[in-house]
Amino acid sequence: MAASFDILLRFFYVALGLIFLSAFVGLFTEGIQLDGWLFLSNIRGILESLASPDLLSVIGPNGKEYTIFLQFWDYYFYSLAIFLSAFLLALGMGILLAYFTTYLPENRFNSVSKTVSLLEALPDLFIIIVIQFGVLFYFKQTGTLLFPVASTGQNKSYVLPILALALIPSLMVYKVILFLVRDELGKLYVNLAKSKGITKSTLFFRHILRNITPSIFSHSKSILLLLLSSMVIFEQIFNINGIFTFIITYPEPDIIAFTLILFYLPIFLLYALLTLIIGKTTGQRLEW
Amino acid sequence: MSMIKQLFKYKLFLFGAVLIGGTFLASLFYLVFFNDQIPSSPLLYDENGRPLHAPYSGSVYPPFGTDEFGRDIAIVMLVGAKYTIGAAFLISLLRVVPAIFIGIFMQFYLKGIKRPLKSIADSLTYFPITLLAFLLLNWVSLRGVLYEEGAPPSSIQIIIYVAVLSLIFIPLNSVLIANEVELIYNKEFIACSRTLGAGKWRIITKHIRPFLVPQLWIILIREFIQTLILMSHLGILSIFIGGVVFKENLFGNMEPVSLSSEWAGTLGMWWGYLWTSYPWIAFIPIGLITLLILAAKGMLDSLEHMLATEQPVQVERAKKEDDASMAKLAPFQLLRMRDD
Repeated sequence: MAASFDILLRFFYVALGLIFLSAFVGLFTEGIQLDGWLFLSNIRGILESLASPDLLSVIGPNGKEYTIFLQFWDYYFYSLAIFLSAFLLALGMGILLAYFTTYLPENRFNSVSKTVSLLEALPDLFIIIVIQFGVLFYFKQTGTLLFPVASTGQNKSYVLPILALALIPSLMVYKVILFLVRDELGKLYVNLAKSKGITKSTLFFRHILRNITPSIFSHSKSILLLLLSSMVIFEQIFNINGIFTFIITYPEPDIIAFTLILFYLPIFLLYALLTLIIGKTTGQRLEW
Repeated sequence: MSMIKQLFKYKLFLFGAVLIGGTFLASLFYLVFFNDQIPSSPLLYDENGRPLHAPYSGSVYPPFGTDEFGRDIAIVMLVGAKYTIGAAFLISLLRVVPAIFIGIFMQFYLKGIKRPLKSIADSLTYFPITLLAFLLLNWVSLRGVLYEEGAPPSSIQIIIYVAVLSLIFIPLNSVLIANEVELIYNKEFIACSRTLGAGKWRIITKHIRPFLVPQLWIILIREFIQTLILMSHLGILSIFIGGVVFKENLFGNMEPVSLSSEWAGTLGMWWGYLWTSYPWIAFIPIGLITLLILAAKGMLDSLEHMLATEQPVQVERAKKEDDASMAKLAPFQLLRMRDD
């Protein structure tokens, strides 16, 4: 009971932080006005619109007021689909890559981990430009477009943004897991399992992975941070009509707070669920 | 001193330091001796004598060709290098140095507020940093110029840019450093020293400092990399250091142009070239930034590796008995000597 209350409290803290930040951003929408009263009135405005989100509205290009829900859910689910699939794909790819390299001999392992550590630092923009140019180049050479490079109004592009978004985080996951597994391999239970003739894949997926899950979990937050920051740029470059483009188009404090809290909600639910499942199956309490 | 000497044994570290330092110095040199003059190419002709139109490719106008205004790209990059490296370095310093004091202060005097502060700093995780920085700088640099409604002058804009990019990271870094200090503070020898009567000041300066300083270097280089990435993101969103002017480009559209021609800004400016028949122009700034980041990452990895393998205290090994003199002894001689 106390644990679930703790989790709820965490959601409350994050929401509060997001409201504060959005109200703070509101001070910068027309020049810089470092004004305490404006800050407070921004917070009041945000709280009011959170209480009754139907009233949230934007000024359209023709000067009329529209409710944001004409397109909002469309944007929201598109962004969420890309974000969550990139996150899960990064985790999965990281785990698979780690499985293939864990049992390499020592010297090969060291060179692999050094290379990964350098590659992981590649800026996301570099990855995007290489991928976009690669697809474009292939198109010019052969005339077949592998994936749509950018979205249009009707035609949403999924594959390329998700792949590009997941690439660097998966290297991060890979590196983290690689080191955790190396630590784990020195432990006694691994020797016992090996001597009982358990296969390498069973050992990796059933035993080692299960034991390092809490550590992966605590590292996953930095991956979320990276993914979210990249998302903003990806939406711009791949011409995705997602929520971050929406926020950039309508930078009002109440809309920012509403959108971000709503975007945090599924992430929070996923984490809460994972905490519950991992707690039940492995008996380890997760710290996040 | 010995730390730096040891570091230079790492090839990657040396490579990174020379690359970053050399680029910065070369760019500074160009400012001092050539006053940042960017040469424009004259009208060039092909072999039939017909005029070519800009941008020229690298084969016509080596080494990198020109942009659409006929400016030499290599020199534009050279001029921008010092602003890119300088701004990134300054921002990462401003992110770390105040956080050291706040972090230590927090750990020693305000332990109670650490948890709520950490939770609130947590929410920064779910407010994408790029978005936050963009929203804070949007009016000041881009929209302000667009509507010409009291946009502050260039120097103020630079200060605001640097301040925003550094201030939003101080809370996170303070918590990080406070955690680091706590780890060191919980070591046994500190408890020992406290029972012997050491005050807070002595513990901080004599015991914590030697452990904290290497960690701070790591944090600093990491921040440098993150700052570069954030700057390039802002470049894509058309927020440049030192302000924007609007110029008519090749296609007759008004395009934002970075005044200082620093790399992150040119990256955003030239991204559109990817879709034209001059795609290499888009690759140049992002390639250079990538190189810069990889150099910093090389330094970071060497530093981490050194700290992981380093012996904190050099212990002199006991001298081994000379093997040669032992070999001269007959079998069991030492035992027989005792019997005699």
